[in-house]
Amino acid sequence: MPERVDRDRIGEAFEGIAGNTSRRGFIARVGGAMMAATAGTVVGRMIEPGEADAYHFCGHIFTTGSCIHPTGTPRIDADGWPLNAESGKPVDNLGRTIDKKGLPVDDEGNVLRDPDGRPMPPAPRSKVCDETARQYNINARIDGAWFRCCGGTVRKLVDCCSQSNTRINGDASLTGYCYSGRKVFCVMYFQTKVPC
Amino acid sequence: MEPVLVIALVTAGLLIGATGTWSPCGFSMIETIGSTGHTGGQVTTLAACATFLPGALVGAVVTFGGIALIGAAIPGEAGWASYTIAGVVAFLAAIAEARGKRIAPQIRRQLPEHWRRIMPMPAAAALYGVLLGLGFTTFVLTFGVWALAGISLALGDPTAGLAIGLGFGVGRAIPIVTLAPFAARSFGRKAITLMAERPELYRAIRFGDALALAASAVELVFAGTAQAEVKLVKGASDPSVASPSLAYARGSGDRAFVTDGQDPAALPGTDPSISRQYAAVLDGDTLRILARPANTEVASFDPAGVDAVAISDKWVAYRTRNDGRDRIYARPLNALGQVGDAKRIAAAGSPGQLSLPGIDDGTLVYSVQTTKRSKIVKAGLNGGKRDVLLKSNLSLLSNPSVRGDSLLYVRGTRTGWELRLTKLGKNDFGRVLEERDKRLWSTALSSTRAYYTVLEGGRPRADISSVRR
Repeated sequence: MPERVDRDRIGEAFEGIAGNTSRRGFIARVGGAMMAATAGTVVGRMIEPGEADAYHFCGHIFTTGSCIHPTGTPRIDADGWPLNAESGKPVDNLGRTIDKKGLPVDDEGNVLRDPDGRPMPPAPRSKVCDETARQYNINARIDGAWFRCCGGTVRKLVDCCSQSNTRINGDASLTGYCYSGRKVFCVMYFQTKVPC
Repeated sequence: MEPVLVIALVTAGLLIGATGTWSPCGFSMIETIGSTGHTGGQVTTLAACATFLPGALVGAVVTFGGIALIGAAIPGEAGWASYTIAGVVAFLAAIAEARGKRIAPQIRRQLPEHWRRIMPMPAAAALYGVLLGLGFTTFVLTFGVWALAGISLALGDPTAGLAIGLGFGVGRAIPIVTLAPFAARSFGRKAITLMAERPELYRAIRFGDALALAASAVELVFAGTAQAEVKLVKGASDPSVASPSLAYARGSGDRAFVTDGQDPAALPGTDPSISRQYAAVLDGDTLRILARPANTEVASFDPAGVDAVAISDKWVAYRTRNDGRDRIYARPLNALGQVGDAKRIAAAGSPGQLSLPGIDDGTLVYSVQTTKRSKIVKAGLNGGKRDVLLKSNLSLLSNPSVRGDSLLYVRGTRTGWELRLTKLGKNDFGRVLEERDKRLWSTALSSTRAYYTVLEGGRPRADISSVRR
C-alpha cells in the first residue's frame, strides 16, 4: 500500500482562493493593468503575472500536491535530488543534511559520528520524482518546466509527469508542463540564486 | 550620428538584452525551446530558434524604434541638451548597474506559458520572441533597459532607436538560441545550472552593462559637445539646419556640405537644404532629393531655372528665375520621398524679387522685395491660407526661416542689419538677436540657435555665424 499524502480538499480550495486574491497577486494584476495602459491592451492581455503566491509553495499556481520529499517541501537541485527547503543543502531520504559523499552532517557541516568516532553511515538518496513514482508504483519522469519570480529570486517549477489519470491528490490530473500524453502527478521546484 | 556612437549603443543593447536571459522568462525560454520542453526533438528546437530570433528583433525594434519616433515627435530638436540628457541617463544607469542595485521599477509579468501547449513550438517561439524583444512586457533584469528607452526618447532619432533595438533584440535572442539546442545535454544543463546558482555571473554581466552604458554616456556627451561647437562656418553661406546636422554651401560653386560637428561630408550638388529625413541639392536645373543619413537619391526632377531649394519631411519648395521673373513652387513628398504635383506659391517680376524659401513641416515663408516695400509672407502648404506676416515701406525685410511658431529674418535699415526673431502671427518685428554693419543674408533656425550668413565685400566673402535664440 503506497504512502499517501492526505489533503483537506476544502482547505485546498480556500488556499487556492487565497493564492488568487493575495496582496501580491493583486499588485501583480494592478501592475499588469498599468503596463497594459502603456504598452498596449493587446500585449497586456497576453502576458501573465510573473510573481504569484501559490497553492502550497511560492510560484506553483495550480492545485497538484507536492512530490514525496524527505523534508516535506519539494525543493530539488538541478538534477532532481532533494534539498532542504530552508537551507538549500542536500538531504538523504531520511531528511538528514549530507555532504558530497552522502554522509550526514550537522548544521556547521561537520560529519556526524557514532560513539566510536566513526562517521555515521549514509542512507539512501533518491531523486524526488523517481522516489514518488516508486512509492506509487507508476512510471514518472520530468518533462518541461517553467520559471517564476518568488520572494525576490527566480524559481524553476518542475512537474513530475506520468501517464496516470489521477494525481498525487487522488483526483484527476492536469497536463501542466508535461507532454506526450503525460500529466502532472506531483510538483517540485528548483530554487535559483538569481534576484528578480 | 557618428559610427562610434552607433557602435556604443548597439554594444550596450547587445549586453543589456543578453542580461535578460537571467530573468524567469529567459530561463523558461531555454528550457521550452530546447528539447526539454517538447517532443519534437532537435529539429523542432532548431525551427523554434529560427523563429525566436526574428521575433525578438521585431519586438525590440518596435519598442526602441517606437520610443525614438515618439521622441522625434516631441517639439524641439535633438541638440546639445538632448545628447546631454541621454548621456546623463546612461551614466546614472551605469552607476546603478556597477553597484548591482535592485531593479526598480520592476515589471512583474511572465510570458503566457500555455502558448507552448496550444500552438506549434516554432509559432509559439516567434511570439515569445516578440514579447521578450518588447523588453517591457516581462521582468527587467537591468537598469539598462530603462536607460536605453530614455536614450531613445531623448535623442528622438530613429537611427538610434533602430540601432538600440537591433542590438537589444540580438542580445535577447542569442544566449537563448545558443543554449536551447543543448538544454537536454550535459553541457547545456551545466550552463543553465551555473547561471542559476552562481549569482556572480549575473553580477558580471550587469557590470558589463555598466561599462557599455558608461562608454555610451561618454560618446553621447562627446557628440553633444561636438554639436554645440557648430556655431561658425568660415567661407560658407545659406545654412540649413536639422539638428544635429547643419548643411551649407561653400566655395564659388556653392558646393553642398553637411556636418554633425565633425568633418563635413560633401553632398552631390549645390545649395543644400536638409530636414530630418531628407536633403535636397541642386545639380544645374535638376533638383535631387536624398534620403538621410545615407544621402541616397530617392527622387529628382528638373524645374527650369531653379536656383534655391528648401525641404521639410513633407514638402519641397524651390525658387526659379526665368525671364527675370522669380517664382516659388512647392511639391508634397510622400513617405518614400517621391514628389507630387507642383503648386505655384508666389511670383515677382523684375525688379522685384522673392527670397530664398524657408520651410518647416507644412509652413512656407518667403519675402517679397519691391522698390515700394518689402514683406514677409507665410503660406500654409496643407491647405492653409497665405498671410502677410510683416511689411515695411522703410526697411528691407528678407531671408526668413521658420521653425515651429518662430520666425527668423533679416531687417536692413539705414543704420545697419539686424537679425530678428519673432512669433508667427504676432505682428511685430520681434527682438533683435544680432546687429551688424555688414550685410546679413540667409538664415536658418534650430531649437537652440539662430544661424545667419554674413556677407563682406563687393564679390562677397560669406561666413555662417550663429547666436543663441
